[in-house]
Amino acid sequence: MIQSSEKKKRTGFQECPVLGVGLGLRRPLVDETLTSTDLLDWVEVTPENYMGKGGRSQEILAQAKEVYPLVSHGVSLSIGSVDPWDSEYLRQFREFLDVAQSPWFSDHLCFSGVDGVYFHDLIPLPRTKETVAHCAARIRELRDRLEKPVLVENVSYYLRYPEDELSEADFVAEVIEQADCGLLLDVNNVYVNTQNHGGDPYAYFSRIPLERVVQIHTAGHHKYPEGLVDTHGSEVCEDVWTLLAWVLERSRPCGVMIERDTYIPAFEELKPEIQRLRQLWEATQGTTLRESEKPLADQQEALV
Amino acid sequence: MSPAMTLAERQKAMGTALLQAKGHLVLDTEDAWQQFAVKEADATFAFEGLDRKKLLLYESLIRGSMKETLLSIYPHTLKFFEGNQSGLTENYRRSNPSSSFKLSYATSALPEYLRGLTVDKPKSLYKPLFLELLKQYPFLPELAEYEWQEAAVALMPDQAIPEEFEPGIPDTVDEMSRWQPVWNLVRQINTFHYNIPGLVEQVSEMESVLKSSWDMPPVPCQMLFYRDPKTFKVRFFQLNDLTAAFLTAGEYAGSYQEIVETLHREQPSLRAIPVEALMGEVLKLLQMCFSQQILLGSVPVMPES
Repeated sequence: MIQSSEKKKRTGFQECPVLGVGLGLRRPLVDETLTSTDLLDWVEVTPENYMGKGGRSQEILAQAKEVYPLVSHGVSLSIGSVDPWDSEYLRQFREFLDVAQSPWFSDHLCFSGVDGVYFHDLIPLPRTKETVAHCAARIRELRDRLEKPVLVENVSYYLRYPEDELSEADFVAEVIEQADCGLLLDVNNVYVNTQNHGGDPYAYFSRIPLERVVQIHTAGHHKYPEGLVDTHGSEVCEDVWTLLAWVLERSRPCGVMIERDTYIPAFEELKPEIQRLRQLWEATQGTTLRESEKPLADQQEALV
Repeated sequence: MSPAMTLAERQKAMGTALLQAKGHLVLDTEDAWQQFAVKEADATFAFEGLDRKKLLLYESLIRGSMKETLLSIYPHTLKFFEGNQSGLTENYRRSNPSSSFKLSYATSALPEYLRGLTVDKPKSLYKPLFLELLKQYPFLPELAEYEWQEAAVALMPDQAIPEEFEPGIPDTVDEMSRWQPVWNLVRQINTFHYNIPGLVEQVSEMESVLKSSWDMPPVPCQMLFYRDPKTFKVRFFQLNDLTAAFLTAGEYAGSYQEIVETLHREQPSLRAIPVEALMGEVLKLLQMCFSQQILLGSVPVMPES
């Protein structure tokens, strides 16, 4: 386990432990992921893959929990929706959080359904003051109902609305400040958005409260005639590694991880990326070795 | 200049664009949906100031995940839609907006959707090519039903096991009154009018199914789908009348003995057999069910208070 002295001292997130380097748990790579404790400190799980399901899903969840701290990252909360909360979702989600013992949970700053119908995709919100107030109120309500720290993730978007009033960075910053929640900063999404819509990623980072970054995602994207699409289906590109290093040098997140959802390669092919991420993490944040892997002298010192 | 949309108005507009059935969908080829979507988007969104191409990108992302999920749950059924899988996905998606936050469950209505295609309706309501396929392969709705049941059983929540559970079954007639069965309830029983298990076996070995002729005379069969509690794999069991009646009686009766008595009372074909003889047959059936994990074990019969 992570030592308590390494917990963050950030207001509102004291209970969030520093986890280190993680990976999104995906079924094709479950076995290799669960035996790679030399590479990984934690795994991120998608609650919708386990909620209300039995059999192999629950077995995977139980096995993963034995090996790693689990962190919940959802895709269907539909934080920005004008629909009321899906009560069945919240019921099952709460049960899931109890089982997974996730120290915090996250979902996307978007909407994914309307009028009781799910899109099964992350649709961008109009960036208006009305949306900021709406999302902030919903996030605060979520935190109160689920009694855990909430993070929201900046999404990649491919569509702009004529009613947009705020830049993306200002919109994200306003929502998390008004909601008093954490940010799951997806560095690849910032890259994709600034490439597709123009803008400077460093200017983006300078406008968001980096002290609220609790978790960081990074991933690969694909280039299509329409622009870059955040597919999570390739290696992290060099530009994104550079941005990630810049962010890590200026923030104190609890965890950083790689997402890979499509064109999932053999685990061996992912290893160099995870190793690189660990080197970057350790160079900027220090080590987060598990208790059992710490040098004996350190353990004795901790006992004194 | 028209006033800016509110958040609620914008979300409803996006819902209309991305989800709602557009009425007379006739998408005959893989790229027909693209042409359709372009026209639709031009008409609907020009005045709202949205970039049509970007909207189409969202449509394609949504269709892509739905198609991938349909292919994972209905691999055999979709082989019959070779060259038309995107069209099928788009028609299905718009005709059956998802009310479940789980993408797998959003595909559960495919069997019903295919059954609907076989209903004689004005041609403009359904894609002519699909109607043709359904006429040629009338077993497709049942094939889809079979594949959905397999997925549904794989996803079912785990069964709670009672505290006094013993992983064994009676091996003497005497014990049959003192114990009651704990069935594997992660299961589903379905009746099919075609030999779908045989069809699945054949289709799974073929890369392209459309070149073959599929003359399948109706052959009714009753199937038990259940999840093996150790391997979590879904297993299939073809039921005859006796095993089907046995499982039904087993679900409602108390002790093993009561199952036998219920069967004897309610099954005309068994009435001629003395109860004692039937007990012996049932013991054999129990052994088989236990070895296949259709029956998980037993709990003692609770004395009546």
